[in-house]
Amino acid sequence: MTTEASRASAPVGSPSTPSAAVGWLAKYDKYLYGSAGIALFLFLWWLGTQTHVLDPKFLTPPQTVFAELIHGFSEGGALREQVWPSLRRGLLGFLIALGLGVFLGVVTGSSNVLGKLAEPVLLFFRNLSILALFPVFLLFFGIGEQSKIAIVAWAAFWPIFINTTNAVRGVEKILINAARTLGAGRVYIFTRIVLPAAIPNIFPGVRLGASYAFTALVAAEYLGATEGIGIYIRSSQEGYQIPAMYSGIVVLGIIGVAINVVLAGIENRVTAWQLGLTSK
Amino acid sequence: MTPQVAVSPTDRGAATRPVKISSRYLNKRFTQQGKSKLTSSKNAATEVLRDFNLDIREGEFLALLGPSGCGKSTFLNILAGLESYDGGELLLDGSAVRGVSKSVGVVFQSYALFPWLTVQKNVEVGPKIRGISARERRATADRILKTVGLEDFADQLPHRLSGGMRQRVAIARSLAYDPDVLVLDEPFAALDAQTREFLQGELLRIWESGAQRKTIVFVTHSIDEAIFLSDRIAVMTKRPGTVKALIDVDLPRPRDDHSRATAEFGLIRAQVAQILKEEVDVGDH
Repeated sequence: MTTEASRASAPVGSPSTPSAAVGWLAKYDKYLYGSAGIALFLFLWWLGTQTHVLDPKFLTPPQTVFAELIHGFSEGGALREQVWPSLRRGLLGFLIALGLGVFLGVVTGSSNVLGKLAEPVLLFFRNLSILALFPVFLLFFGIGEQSKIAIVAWAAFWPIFINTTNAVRGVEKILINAARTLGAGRVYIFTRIVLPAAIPNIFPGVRLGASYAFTALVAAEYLGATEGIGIYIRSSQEGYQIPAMYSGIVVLGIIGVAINVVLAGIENRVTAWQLGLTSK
Repeated sequence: MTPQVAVSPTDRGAATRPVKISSRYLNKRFTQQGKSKLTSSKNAATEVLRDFNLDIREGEFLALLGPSGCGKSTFLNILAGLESYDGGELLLDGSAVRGVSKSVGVVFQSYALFPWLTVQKNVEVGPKIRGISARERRATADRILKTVGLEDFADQLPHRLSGGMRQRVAIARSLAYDPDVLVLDEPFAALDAQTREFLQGELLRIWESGAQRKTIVFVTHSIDEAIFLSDRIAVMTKRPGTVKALIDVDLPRPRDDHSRATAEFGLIRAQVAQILKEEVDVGDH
């Protein structure tokens, strides 16, 4: 009893920190280096435009872009009106893809026959350029909101679906058998065993899907939209509003980072049980 | 060939107890899909069990012993309702086994705990599926975790525990919905020798502490383990598996480490080893 208990508690006590200062550095050095990297990037950007190595007519200096951002987001600014329409399309399309991708992925991954049936079709579509499909979406959904959301959903669907299929296939059969002997039915096994067991391997697909979603969103907005960051960037360029164009690009980048942070946070929460189980 | 060893009445009158599980001419084949290229016939079927006959009595601790690949785990899976069979019949309390049932609890060699659930929640899964109220589930889990000596680890995740402790959680989980029959598939095979012996003692203690003794079918390939634990040992042949000999283990209970050192223990070990040796020799030709 006692020997076993002590053996079990061994992995719990993680490596002790030699001193508090080193511990602090180890904890925050990711952010420290990250901030330094951003500062260096901004400095090089500024230096390039300042020395005219990079033509400031084409590449707006960072401080001007920053000023444009402030202006764009102030009361009545043009840019702030564009964020929500884009975000709404992106999130809506992504959520549709998430629901469909996980559901169909679990179904396909659970059945050998379905998996084999789906494989060649999957291979065809996952490698097909989304640009090639734009006319199809326009035909079906018209030029309005629906086609844009559909394009976003399509782009985000594939990585989520494929990752889910593989993740479900990778679930250990013994866990399912254990649940069966405990009296679990089909629904319980799908929702309470297969899904949680597969989630750590589903998440990379979800993050990839989110990133694809916003890439496709901008392309969809370029096609023609009355509002949205994509069309804002494009029309700024067409009107030689170069600082405005860059401010739009920066906003898109920030949205991408924010979504990644949110998803990483959710992933950490949902897969917290894995801590210490894998190299994570 | 060693004939079936005559049943000698034990001190607890085991032989007079009613039959709980009855296997009559049970047959099981596996159709191999992946390996069909290696064999000439397209639908190569491997016979795993052929005319497997065995009666297991109520409240009995039966060890199923045999060379690896002899089909002992297959029998267990059929009994647990995880696999179907191709011929003969398998009766539990007089009715045919078809699919999983509430009466049989299973403990797997690889623990098969749900890694995202705490020890407590793992133990509660069975009662939860069967719609038992949260309060009652908690009480059951508390009681059973105390029985297996893990009450202090209720809120830990399984991978924080040692292998031996994990297997005790798995035992607790299968006991939580109070099955009549507990089947264990080489539960201690992956553990180090010290932990294995400790858990063998624990298993007996848990079994003997129950108000009504459960029928236990314990699959193992360790002779010593089979003798130490069981009332009877069913020794299996090589594949296709069938019961070759039934051996009574009349060591008095409760058993402890001294039981392993008795002359009787040694005698049974020699006897079983001889039977197993014949099986392995036969297979070498």
